[in-house]
Amino acid sequence: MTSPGAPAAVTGLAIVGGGPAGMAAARLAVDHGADVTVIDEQPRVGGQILRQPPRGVEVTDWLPGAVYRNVRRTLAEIENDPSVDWRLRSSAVALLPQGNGHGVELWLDTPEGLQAVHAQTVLLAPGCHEQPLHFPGWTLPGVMGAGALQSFVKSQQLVPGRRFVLSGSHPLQLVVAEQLLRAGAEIAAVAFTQRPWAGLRLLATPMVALRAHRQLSAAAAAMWHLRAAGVPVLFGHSVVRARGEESVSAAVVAPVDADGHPDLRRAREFECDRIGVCHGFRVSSELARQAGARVAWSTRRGGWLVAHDAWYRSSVDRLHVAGEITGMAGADAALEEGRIAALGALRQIGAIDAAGAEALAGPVRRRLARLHRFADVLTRLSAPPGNLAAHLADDETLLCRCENVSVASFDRAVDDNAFIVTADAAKLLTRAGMGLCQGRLCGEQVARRLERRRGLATGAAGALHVNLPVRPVRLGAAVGDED
Amino acid sequence: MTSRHDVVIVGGGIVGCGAAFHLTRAGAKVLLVEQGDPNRRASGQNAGSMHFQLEHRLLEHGGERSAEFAQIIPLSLAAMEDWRGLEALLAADLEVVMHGGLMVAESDDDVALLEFKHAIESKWALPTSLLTGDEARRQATYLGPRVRAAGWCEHEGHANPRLVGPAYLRAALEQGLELATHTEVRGLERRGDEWHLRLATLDDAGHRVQEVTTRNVLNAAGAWMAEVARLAHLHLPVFAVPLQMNVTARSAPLIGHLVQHVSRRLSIKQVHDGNVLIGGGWPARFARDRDGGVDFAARPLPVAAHVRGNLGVAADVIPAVRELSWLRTWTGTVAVTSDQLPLLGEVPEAPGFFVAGGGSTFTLGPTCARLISRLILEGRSPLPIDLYSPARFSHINGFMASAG
Amino acid sequence: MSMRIEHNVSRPPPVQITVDGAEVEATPGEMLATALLAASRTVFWRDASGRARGPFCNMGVCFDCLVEVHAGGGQPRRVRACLTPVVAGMVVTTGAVEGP
Ligand SMILES: Cc1cc2nc3c(=O)[nH]c(=O)nc-3n(C[C@H](O)[C@H](O)[C@H](O)COP(=O)(O)OP(=O)(O)OC[C@H]3O[C@@H](n4cnc5c(N)ncnc54)[C@H](O)[C@@H]3O)c2cc1C
Ligand SMILES: Cc1cc2nc3c(=O)[nH]c(=O)nc-3n(C[C@H](O)[C@H](O)[C@H](O)COP(=O)(O)OP(=O)(O)OC[C@H]3O[C@@H](n4cnc5c(N)ncnc54)[C@H](O)[C@@H]3O)c2cc1C
Ligand code: FES
Repeated sequence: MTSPGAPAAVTGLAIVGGGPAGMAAARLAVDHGADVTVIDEQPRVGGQILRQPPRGVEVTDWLPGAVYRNVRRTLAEIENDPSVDWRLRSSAVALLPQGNGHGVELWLDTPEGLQAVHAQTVLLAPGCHEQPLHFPGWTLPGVMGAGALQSFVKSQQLVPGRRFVLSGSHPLQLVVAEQLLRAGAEIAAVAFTQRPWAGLRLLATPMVALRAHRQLSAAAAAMWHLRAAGVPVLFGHSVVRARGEESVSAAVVAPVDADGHPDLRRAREFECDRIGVCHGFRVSSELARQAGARVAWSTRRGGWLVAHDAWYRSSVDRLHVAGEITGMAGADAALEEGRIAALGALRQIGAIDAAGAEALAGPVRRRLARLHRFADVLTRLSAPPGNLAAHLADDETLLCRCENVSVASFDRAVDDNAFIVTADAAKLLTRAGMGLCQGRLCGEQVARRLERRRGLATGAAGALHVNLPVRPVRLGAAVGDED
Repeated sequence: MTSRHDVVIVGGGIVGCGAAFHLTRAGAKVLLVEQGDPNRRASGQNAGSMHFQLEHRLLEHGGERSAEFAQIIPLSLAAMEDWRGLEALLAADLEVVMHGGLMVAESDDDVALLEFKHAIESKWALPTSLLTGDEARRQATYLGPRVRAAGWCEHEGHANPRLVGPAYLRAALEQGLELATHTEVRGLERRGDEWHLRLATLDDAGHRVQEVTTRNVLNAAGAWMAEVARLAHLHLPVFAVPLQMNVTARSAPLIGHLVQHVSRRLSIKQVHDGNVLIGGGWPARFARDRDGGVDFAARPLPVAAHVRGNLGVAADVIPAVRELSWLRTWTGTVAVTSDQLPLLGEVPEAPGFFVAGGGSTFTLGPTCARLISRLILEGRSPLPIDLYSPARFSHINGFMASAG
Repeated sequence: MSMRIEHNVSRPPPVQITVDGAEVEATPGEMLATALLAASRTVFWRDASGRARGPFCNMGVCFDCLVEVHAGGGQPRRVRACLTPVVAGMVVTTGAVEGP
């Protein structure tokens, strides 16, 4: 065992994240003779779209749809390759670029304690997480991300409740609702914040070949199936409150206008024990930010995206990026980005020359351009109303669920201290963003609420600074006493 | 912004905000200039310890030097009083806790150092006592078996550094303070008996530059005090030192005091919200800019080995911390003077140019702010502060000022 | 109320774990969050104000699925139930109130 005090294990290319981007990169890098280490905090690779069942649990006909075809092929090509140094159930918690071409040290929190890996170069492919919605009751047990519910089905083969309400702006919720329904759940309702014609107008854009768009056609098929099963699919509606004492007993759903303002007089209650929220994704750029990589804000494409060049190199020496952290574009795009980033990394460590990389990258870039056009349609179609969270949260709603900072106490602190204008200063003042999730669930709302109250433009309050470790680590493990 | 002031304060940390409070309370017309958001640098990033026992950094150089550093004690005694009254003075909850502090010893050498320290402190009338390991563990049940002895000072404790600066600032604003944030002092020039300052405000439109005039300047720029002094053609031997700190996730009450170590770098305490702060002066490293040069303004980078070092000392002294979660490590930049004593007073060669800062200016911040304000307003401090005057560097500024 | 999917799924023989003092059957390798939901537990812990909390993200981000696992004689460890695989004989407590 190598703890960060001891000499680090050495590798050529360390890939953080075994999702589509990381798997495709690993395949290509191994094929070019590189020493590859893949780090993932899940027990099996596959990433979020392919959250696999535990080893030993056999599922016939697992994830048959066309959306899963390419990623499943890549999974099959890499998962059992013994030439990869697999570090599963291991979270990368710190990324320490050594400067002057000396590579990068990574700290991993593993079941055996904290370990260090020294890599010549690093590819970050940590994907994204779901964007939460701060509405009254959102911290009640039973309120989950729609993708979280879906992962219970896909991976755990569990129907994680009895009766579900799904609410959001992303078409993924149709797919999730259908998977739940097929698995034996009741679906009380699916609510979309968009008015129906908003989506239809986009779909009518001639540029878009809807049938070629795998995610959208999967969503359309799911919608048809849900309607046939009698599930109400509402447009221009959102969940506005979760009711229940110890866990969810009902969802209050109301019409919302284009700015996200609810009409509570026309609210309806749906009895249910789970609510899935589905407002798209926020990229997991925390490690890149901790390492000092340049990021740029995009509300629509996933938050603080890591800036990169044509070879998917970030602004930090020897730090490459691929997949959703460069902007939400879906699993097939993540595969292609992983390949280009791997070529960039292979160039860096001298495993391929420039001409060779260019030749291999050409066709990948062409496929990627097409996928990025599809992704653009999807992100435009699935954007939630700009001020939905601001309109839904009431005084008692927790803004920061880790530190129990209510909306009212946050607003009061911001009003009382009119001299602060940055998200970091607001965090320091209120503790919002200081907790276990390290601001990943509240950071955006902290900035948005501050900007609204100060009359600033979106993004003006800046990003929360990310410190190491990006996940909390048991202190005993950090000092190396693991028993 | 009006253009003529009694005092312009450079720096919105605890010292600048504190001075703004005292000066405006006395009716002075004051402008505070801060280049970012207030209280975001050392004053918002520190560990919040109120430590009055002579620290490890003051003891590590042995006999005579340590005796010199004991000159800090009169300020410490004043600071105890200031902290006890601060929440009432500002009508704000600052999470001030003064339940006492322990400075622990593990080895024979440590115990000897503790005795030496205690002797100096007694001479200067700092109320400390010596405890055996068992006595210390009776007082502080969480201490581990490695603790052989401890120094005890009942006045030590901690406050929340995130709250103190803003509380001062809110009160000062109510008393009529003018505040310019995201504004940097770029020029400082004396003409006749007035100082002219060039201020650059960063906003969406780019830089806005303006000039203000004042009779007095207070340099409270923390780790950047030397840079600000240079604008006035003066030198201050103040050095920016990058430090790092660690914090654990919240947990049930465990540690009831401030705990430091007499020979190893450690300060540890549990704050109001339940987090345990672990620091003690472990250095971080300055960031590099794109050309490979050093960037003193950027956030320093944490040093991995020092994270482990610091957490390791904590676990040696208080074994139960092993079960807590290391949540975050962050860095900040502190000002250290060449002789480790604070800078507090007027630069004799530059009338109207005052400085306040250097060292543990969280602990001593309220006191420095109060005393420097009285010096500016009345020409003298209620407590003798000559020991800390920049006059001790007249051998440098004698040259400088005559040409400036 | 949650239920394991049986159709088209074959699982290894179940193992026993202890949840809040009661014996519960679980599948080895499945996540503790799954075992707890299947055993009708939704309150995984309580925050300092006593509010009930449970899993939100199911991917290790939110830390709202914290439960206490007792191993050996030492202090219980708080782990994320959504990232902790079930092992036979595990002793788990839910509903712990967060300090301070
Ligand atoms: C809950 C959820 C459900 C989703 N479901 C679908 C779906 O059904 N269909 C669809 O098209 N898209 C889905 N997506 C979007 C999906 O993430 C992408 O389409 C695709 O999986 C992205 O690939 P990626 O390689 O960029 O990242 P991911 O697939 O997210 O892979 C990233 C991997 O990195 C690991 N990781 C992250 N940070 C660290 C760290 N610090 N240390 C170690 N490991 C780390 C994660 O465990 C993960 O396995 C879902 C996303 C989420 C969050
Ligand atoms: C990690 C760490 C832990 C510490 N722990 C403790 C502790 O436990 N106890 C203790 O007593 N002390 C501690 N300290 C020291 C203490 O934080 C500092 O001594 C104290 O905060 C200094 O306050 P200040 O107001 O002088 O400086 P600062 O808080 O640094 O404020 C100076 C301000 O001046 C501004 N400024 C600089 N140049 C210009 C310019 N040209 N124009 C406009 N504005 C300018 C800066 O932006 C800054 O906000 C610690 C320090 C650090 C970094
Ligand atoms: S459910 Fe979010 S961390 Fe486990």
